[in-house]
Amino acid sequence: MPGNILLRNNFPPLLAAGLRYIFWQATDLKEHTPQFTHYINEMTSEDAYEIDYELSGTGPMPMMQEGSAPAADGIIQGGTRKYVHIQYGLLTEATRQLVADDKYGIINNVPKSHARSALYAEEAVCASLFNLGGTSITTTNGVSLFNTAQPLMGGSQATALAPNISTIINSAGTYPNRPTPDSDLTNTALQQATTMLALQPDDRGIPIHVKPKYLVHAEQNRRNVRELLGSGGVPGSSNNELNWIQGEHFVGLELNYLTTPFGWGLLAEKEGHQLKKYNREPLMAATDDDFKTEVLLFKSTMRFSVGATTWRGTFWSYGT
Amino acid sequence: MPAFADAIEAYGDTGGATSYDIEWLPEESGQTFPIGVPVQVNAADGGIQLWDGATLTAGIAGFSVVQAQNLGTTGLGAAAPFGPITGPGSNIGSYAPNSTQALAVISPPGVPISIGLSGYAVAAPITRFIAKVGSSAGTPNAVATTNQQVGAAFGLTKDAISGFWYVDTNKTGASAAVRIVGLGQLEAVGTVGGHVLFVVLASVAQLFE
Repeated sequence: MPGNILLRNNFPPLLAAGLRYIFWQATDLKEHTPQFTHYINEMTSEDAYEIDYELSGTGPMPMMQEGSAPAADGIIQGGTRKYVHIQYGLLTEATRQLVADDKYGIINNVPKSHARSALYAEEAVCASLFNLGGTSITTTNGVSLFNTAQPLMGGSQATALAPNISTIINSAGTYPNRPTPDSDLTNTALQQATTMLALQPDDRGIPIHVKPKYLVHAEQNRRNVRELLGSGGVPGSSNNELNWIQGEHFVGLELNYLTTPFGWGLLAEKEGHQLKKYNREPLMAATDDDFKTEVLLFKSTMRFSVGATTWRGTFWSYGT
Repeated sequence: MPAFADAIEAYGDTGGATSYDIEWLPEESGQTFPIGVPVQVNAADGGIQLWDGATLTAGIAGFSVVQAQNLGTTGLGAAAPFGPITGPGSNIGSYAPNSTQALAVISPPGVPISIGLSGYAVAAPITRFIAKVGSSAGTPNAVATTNQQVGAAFGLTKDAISGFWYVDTNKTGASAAVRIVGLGQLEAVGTVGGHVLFVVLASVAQLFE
């Protein structure tokens, strides 16, 4: 990392007029437009951290026998999800002589480059929900965001009550939002994912309406996604079958910050899931100089947290 | 073998308003130390743990600036590069809410934040620290400060009652870990249990040459 103080000797071409054009990657290379804003719920925070809490509802209502009291039931407390904000920052140091002698104003515009660096951080941290969601990122129930066995608060009673899920679940008292084993994106895999989401019960076993909207994928799956979502017939099939996926109205969402090339998943619209980004402090630029050395300091900082309160509304496969 | 090294460059300024360097490393599992005690890097897994009080060659990484969290595993919850804080975000005070989600916890507001890392003021031999002076000879007890203590090298000993550490005039020579470089300015010379300023001996500093 070029963390050294920027000196005039490092950038001699900037000190003399005559350059026709400076191809500065920070401004000349077009960056991706923000992607996380499409899929993550953004909120503000004024505290050191935020805590989300999950509760179940009551279970299905049983018969009430004549003259007897109804069954008693309450709600079950789940776990909490603490969003601890993390500070991000970047510092660039340059001598006053370099700034003064720079004929092209490049050094003075270093904060523009910082903004680009900041966007990477926001995108990468948000995308880490997919990249790390199968391992270290957990939700209120304590297991990973994408798991083949999300424990339900209602336990085995919930999976016993939920209709038609015996072939979906991997163990009683749990419900998956990740295939076993991970699968590549195919027509069949997408069908299984859609079925898994459609049959999803709440933590007490009551079926819920989950409607995925986005088919999230990396660049390597672009062709595959276009074929799956855009073909009139089932892609790769010699039969004249209707491409059922069109009726699901999925929207492809290609992310440039995924680290698994063939990872893919389904995501509900924002109100249907709890992937969150709490913005504590926006990106702020500050400049100062050191009186003694006359080194100018360009500093950019921001603070936010990203996480998932619950696995609901999500499905992910890391591919094979 | 192809060339693989690249330029050695400054990475960041030390100092700043605090004028001493604070670093963060994964916290070793099971640690319960308070703020202001010597810590070391566990050789096996790199976690920050309470100094064992015996390792004098590259033994002290620094002095804790946050209390330990009694983590279940080393570095539990620490954020991966460009990743969020994982785990419940708190360890102390968290309790299980129900029988069906064994890993779920309720983490009350107000309990210390756990980020999986432990912060410590680096035991750089140029950084001065302050501690009380005492002696472990016989019944451990405070001793009086003297001008003659300045310049002398002594050890550090844990006060079994408070859990904090003091500069131990009973440990000298090969047992020394710190060198007294001054006396506390708020107490008269001769104060029993007064404060002394010290630096960690270069040979004892674990993360500083």
